[in-house]
Amino acid sequence: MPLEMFRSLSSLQLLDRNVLANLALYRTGDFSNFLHDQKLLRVQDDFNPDFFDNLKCTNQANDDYHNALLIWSNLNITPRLAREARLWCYLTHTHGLDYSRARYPLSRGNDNDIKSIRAHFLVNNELRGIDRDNALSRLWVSAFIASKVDGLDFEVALQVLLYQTDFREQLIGHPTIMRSVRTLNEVMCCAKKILLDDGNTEFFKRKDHKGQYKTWFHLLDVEGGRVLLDGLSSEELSKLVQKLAEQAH
Amino acid sequence: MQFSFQKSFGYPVLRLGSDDYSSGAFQPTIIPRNVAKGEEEARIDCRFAISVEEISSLIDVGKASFAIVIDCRDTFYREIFETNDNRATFFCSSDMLKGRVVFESYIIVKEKIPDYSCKHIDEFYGPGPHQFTPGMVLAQGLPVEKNIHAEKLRDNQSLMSFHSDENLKMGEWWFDILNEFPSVYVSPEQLASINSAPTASNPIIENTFLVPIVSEMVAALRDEELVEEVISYPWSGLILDGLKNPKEELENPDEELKNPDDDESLISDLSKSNIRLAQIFLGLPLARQNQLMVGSGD
Repeated sequence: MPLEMFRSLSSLQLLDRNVLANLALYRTGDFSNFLHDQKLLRVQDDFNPDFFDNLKCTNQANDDYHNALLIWSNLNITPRLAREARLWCYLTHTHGLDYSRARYPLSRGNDNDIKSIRAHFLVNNELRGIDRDNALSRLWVSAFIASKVDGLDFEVALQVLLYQTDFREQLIGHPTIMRSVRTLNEVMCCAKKILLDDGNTEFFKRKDHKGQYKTWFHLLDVEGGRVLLDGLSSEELSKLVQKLAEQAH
Repeated sequence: MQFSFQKSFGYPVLRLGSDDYSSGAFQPTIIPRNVAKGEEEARIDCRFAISVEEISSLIDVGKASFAIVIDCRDTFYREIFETNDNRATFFCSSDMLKGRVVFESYIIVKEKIPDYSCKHIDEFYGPGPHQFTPGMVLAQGLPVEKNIHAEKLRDNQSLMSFHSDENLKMGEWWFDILNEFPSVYVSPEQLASINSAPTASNPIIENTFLVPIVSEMVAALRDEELVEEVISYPWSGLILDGLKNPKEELENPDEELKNPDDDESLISDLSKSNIRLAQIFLGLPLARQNQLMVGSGD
């Protein structure tokens, strides 16, 4: 079967306008009637959606690693296509509906559930909706970031990235780190050394909205506002990233 | 962590709108060339002009360099390219340049500079000499933002694809521009005819299909409500780019490096109708059809 996505943004706008009316469908139903009336765009001719059945349907962040691997190895799309809200919203309302409602349970009252649907089933924030919020795109993006870390094995990089949800979100919230292969590589290699080689899980603990990893990103922010990190040599960049991590301890 | 034009670096940086330097300018010209279908590399032509001699001499001796950073949100891509020449051409994977791409430009320090002095530095920073370490920014150009697309619609019609609709009679057609890839629907027999048409008949395709389609695209871009939906589609960038109206020629001996961003779009010129702008965008395609009409009179 083909991989498809909504042809027009109007399908997304329609879903967004009708979240309240569709609450029951989000909680237990499906969107076959809605989809019947929507125009779709074929983006790949050969696509097997069976892997969606193998996603761990829980609300546990621990399962993100398994699920990100599964999405990455079966959803063979370009980064450009991964920027399409029309793709991810189509998937969260079709093949990935069961997973999305398991990962983000809709049982906290209408107001909270509506917010959760807009964040995790739709894409309602241009800057971070795909990177951080949508139930399926966030898994693909995590794996994509791990794939860019050439200093680590893909699985190791993904393991470090997903060790703690807020660490991942901090990294993704720093696009100049996330998008720059060189800076991302140094930051992830340093994070791997702290977490896996030194066994320092304390560094990644979140404490009252603080934590050593947060101080580290803050120091990177300060330094990155003073020098162009991309302009440093690999050796200089590596030393700087490690020095700032030590300061954050 | 992104450098802002509103924010001080904490040390003197030559840039527009800042009084860190009382005189002097850094003027980069960055021109990403159009990428044709099938080309794997994108070419970016750059020219750098720096009028502060002290900075210029640091570049000459390799203590500083010109740098451009290409940052593409859509492909999660960011890469730096450096040179010590005033003119340079860089290449990067064309797959990485799609949609909104920002080109940042800098002069950055490559080696420690313990004794930099320049009479144009504002006295706020003290008499100097000033110290710079690798990675620090000596000058910053205005970021250039581009919408980059695979190819020009007017060149090869490839962003318009034909599809068959069995409900249509031979000769009937309709089109849909409210999606990323504008589509034309014709009957299956008509589609076979179009697909087998020789290249020489392209002007007929242009005049029959592209003129009304581009006219509709122009109308959508001029419609306050529709524009929000269509502006994200690649074709909207093509239309806006294609309708840029050259300003009066500046004194620029290097025509090759003329920056298309200096042009204004005709889209806001309401004295020209949608159909007129479609003709302008397509390069007056009726004229190209004339050769097909030669000798056809009774």
